[in-house]
Amino acid sequence: MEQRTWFPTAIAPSFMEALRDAFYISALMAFIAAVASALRGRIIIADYEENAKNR
Amino acid sequence: MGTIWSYTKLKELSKPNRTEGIDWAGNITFGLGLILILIAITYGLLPYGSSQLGWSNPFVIGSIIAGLGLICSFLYIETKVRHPMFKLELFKIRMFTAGNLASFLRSIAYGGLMIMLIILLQGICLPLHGYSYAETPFWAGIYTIPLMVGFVTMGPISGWLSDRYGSRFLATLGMVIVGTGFLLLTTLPYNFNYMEFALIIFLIGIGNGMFSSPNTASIMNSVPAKYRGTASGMRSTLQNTGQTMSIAIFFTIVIISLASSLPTALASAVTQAGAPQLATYVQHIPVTGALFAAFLGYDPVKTIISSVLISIPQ
Repeated sequence: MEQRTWFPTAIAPSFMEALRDAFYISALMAFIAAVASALRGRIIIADYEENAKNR
Repeated sequence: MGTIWSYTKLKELSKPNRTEGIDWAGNITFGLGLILILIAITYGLLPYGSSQLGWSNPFVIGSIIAGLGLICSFLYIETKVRHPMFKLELFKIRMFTAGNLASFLRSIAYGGLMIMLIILLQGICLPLHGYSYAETPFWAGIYTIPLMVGFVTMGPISGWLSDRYGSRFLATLGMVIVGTGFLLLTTLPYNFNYMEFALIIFLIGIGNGMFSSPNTASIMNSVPAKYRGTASGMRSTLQNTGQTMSIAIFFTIVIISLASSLPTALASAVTQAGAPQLATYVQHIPVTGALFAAFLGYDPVKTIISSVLISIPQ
């Protein structure tokens, strides 16, 4: 137990499990971000539209 | 150099409107609200009473309620003041809302990644591979370089690609890549092969680089020129808020998950090491303490052993 590797080895499985939970949630957020990004609609450039209207 | 360059070379394109004052009420309610929520999350992760986590601490509950109240009053103030920090009607522009929502979620998903990878490397992988604790911060920095390399190489390429394929396609693909990268990270065992790890974080860097500049460009293009200053401020405020929240969210998930598994894991580890009498002691190590002990290269078990030795009657 006095070895340098004892404590990291003891907590490693629990820590990886915890990290996996966090990564699953991050993956979910990234996929929702992808959906939001896809729903942005066609490209508009605000001032071109306004100028076109005024013309 | 930056000061001289920007003073001499940057030209004002829109006419600045000097009559617009600073939105003090908005700034203060938003800042204080966010600080209170983050303080509450921080104390929510520390042990309170006999519980591993602090969510039952009245101070934590009070701060969360006050913080949320301030954020709500911020939204109300922004609809009332003449020159708001957040021009809420810009959210009526679909592209602006979608781009900011994507950017905010990306920041939450991505912001805490670096610190988690560092804790994984410094606390677990590097010590297991024989690095001394004095060397781990340096090598953890070196081993996370692929994330940055992916991001930096993709920056200029994504500008060129978004001119050809459009920012929507590129930003969306970028986020799909980041999400896939996170799923790949979950497949790694704790004694992973470094090349595999490097490739995954390189991929996440690429995805993030693909998303970043096309998404920002599309947010800025979606608003009329006179609102670009406000729009840029809103975008970076949301992005930074997401990043700050991300670290709190990552730690919350990790510590809640650890709180359920770590005490029994430590108890069985000391039992297997032939010291079952220590099981009750290690079960009471706060998980927050264990996490940071691993990260800082400090072994709480040694401290417990010595304190137990002292408390044994001679």
